Amino acid sequence: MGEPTVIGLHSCGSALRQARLRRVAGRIEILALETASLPSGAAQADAGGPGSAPEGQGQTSPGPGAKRARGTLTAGSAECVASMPAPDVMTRCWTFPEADDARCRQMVAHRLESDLPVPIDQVVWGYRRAGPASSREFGTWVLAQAARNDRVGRHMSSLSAAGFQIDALTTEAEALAALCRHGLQLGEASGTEALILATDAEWVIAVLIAGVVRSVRRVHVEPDQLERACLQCRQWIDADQPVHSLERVLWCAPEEMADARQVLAETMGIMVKPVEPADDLIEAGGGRISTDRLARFGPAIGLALAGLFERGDMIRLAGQPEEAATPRRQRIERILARPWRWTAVAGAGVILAAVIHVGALAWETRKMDRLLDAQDQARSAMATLGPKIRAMQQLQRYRIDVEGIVADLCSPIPESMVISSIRLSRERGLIIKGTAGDLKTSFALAEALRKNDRFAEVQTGRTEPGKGGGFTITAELVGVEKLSSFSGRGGPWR
Amino acid sequence: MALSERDRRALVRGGIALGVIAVYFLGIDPLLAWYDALVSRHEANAASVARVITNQRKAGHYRDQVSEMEEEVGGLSTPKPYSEQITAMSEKVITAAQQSGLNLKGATPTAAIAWPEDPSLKQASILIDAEAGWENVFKFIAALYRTEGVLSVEQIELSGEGGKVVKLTISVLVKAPESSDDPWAG
Repeated sequence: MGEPTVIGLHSCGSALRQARLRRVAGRIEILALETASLPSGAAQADAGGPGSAPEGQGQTSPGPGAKRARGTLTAGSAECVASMPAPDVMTRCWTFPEADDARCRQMVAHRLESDLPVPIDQVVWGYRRAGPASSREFGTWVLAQAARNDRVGRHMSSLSAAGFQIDALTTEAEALAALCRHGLQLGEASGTEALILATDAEWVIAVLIAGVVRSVRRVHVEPDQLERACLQCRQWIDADQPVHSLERVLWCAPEEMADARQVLAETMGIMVKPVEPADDLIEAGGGRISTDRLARFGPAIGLALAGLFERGDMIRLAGQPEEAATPRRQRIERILARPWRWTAVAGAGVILAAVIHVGALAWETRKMDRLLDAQDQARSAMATLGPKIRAMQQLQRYRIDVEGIVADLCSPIPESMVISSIRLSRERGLIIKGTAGDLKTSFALAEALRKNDRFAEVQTGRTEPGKGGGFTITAELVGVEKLSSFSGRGGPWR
Repeated sequence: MALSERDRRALVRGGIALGVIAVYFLGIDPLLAWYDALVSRHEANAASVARVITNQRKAGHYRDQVSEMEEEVGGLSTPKPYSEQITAMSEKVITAAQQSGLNLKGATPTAAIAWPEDPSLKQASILIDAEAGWENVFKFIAALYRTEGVLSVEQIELSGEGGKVVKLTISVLVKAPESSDDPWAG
């Protein structure tokens, strides 16, 4: 995403002062400051009202040092913000009750209709909320400005003829207000004050109340008639706001005009304070802008600053329809406008996460240490259970269930069979001896034992064949753990 | 002596490089070592705690099993030395025989032999000769199996009609003597 670039176009008679600015890493870089001349027809059409003092003594053709406007700063996709000449603009300030935009616009329209000397459909107008009303009143302070349709159209035509496609046409008051807010070191502005941008030929005078420019006027200055110019300046300010109500007079002029400042201070009877450009307003080479260039191009710079910082708020009399930025986009643009700040926030977040991570690790480790210490005590209690567990496991593994085996053995023995001995041994298994009238019963018993899970390798045989039905059944015991070292009674048990 | 711009730049860069090295060796490296130690200790503790939890569960299970088994077999105890165990067992065998109606002819202990599972133990046997009906024999075996110290019936022979003659071998685990107590030890 490229840094936004804005061109401020300030027309002054036949001269067109241009300032091209862009925002770079939280600073405002002045890419170019140039003076060009408007095409002759356009300049004549746009020649100002009674207060205007055309640069170059009314000449309409380009001066030797001036360039034609066309083709100088129009390249690229930079946004163009221009201003209507101050004499063509009517300014009003009112206090309205708090209201939404639609209602506020309606109230402004009603007031303008009653205040304007021409029907409201013959003017274009705009307004801005200038902040809360003074402590004695409730509501919002609203600044409204209007200009005649034909004047606006003529001015736009002249700029168009000069090769500019204007995105926003605003007023000089807005330009100077933006300059005060973003381009000068003024400190806190709360009361009434005057700003004078003075060059050797012309002074631009603005009266501000709480940072809002109420009126703008130009005074033509002859080098040998400084007192007259100062007197004009005082009279003009006095016509708008009483001079004694001024808190300060701000002076922006080349250093060689220190005498003029002195004379003005004596005429006004108030201290005239020189102002410096803001620290973040820098030339393309990185240096600070000189007060000479600032005084000469102040309104153009102010227009570009208004385009950079106050696009949505500034009064628009004409231009391209403003692209309605969604709140989401506005939020994203606000975030992206301060990359270093967000980088710092992200860095702080990473450090915080690292601190939390390490803190949690240390805390968990300490907690587990305590748990393991407590377990050492519990382990000694468990140690007493160990021998019992071993004894239990030995019983589970080696104890022979004699009763169960004999019960399983006896259940299939038929009534006709006589058992003479039963021998059960861990190592030698089962040996049954007995007699049966019918030898088939002994085989039936052997078959029944084979089907029982406790016995395996069941063998049957006849004993003492000459004496009738004697038999022997042998079997292995399933699930009985053998001990290789067990020796019984010390020899075969017969 | 005035430093040229180039010298000043070189000094600044050298200073920054030295600063970075110092910060690494005095700050970052010890911090990483401390962090590694912390992570290792945490992992070891986590493994120990997991083992403890498993052992606790296992111990609870065994405790239940042991109590069930003790209800069934009377008691579970550590094997005693041969003489002590055999003396006690002989008395218990006689008592069990009397209670079961067994006509005891003899109860002869044998010498202890090695127990293959555990060198600290030995296996001794008691050979019992008796006369009794089968029902009484099984009462006697049941009584033996509730006697503390009896491992198992190793052999049983019932002979005679109705099971008159009984020959029984029971096994008992005893504590193996210490090596110094062994008279045959070198």
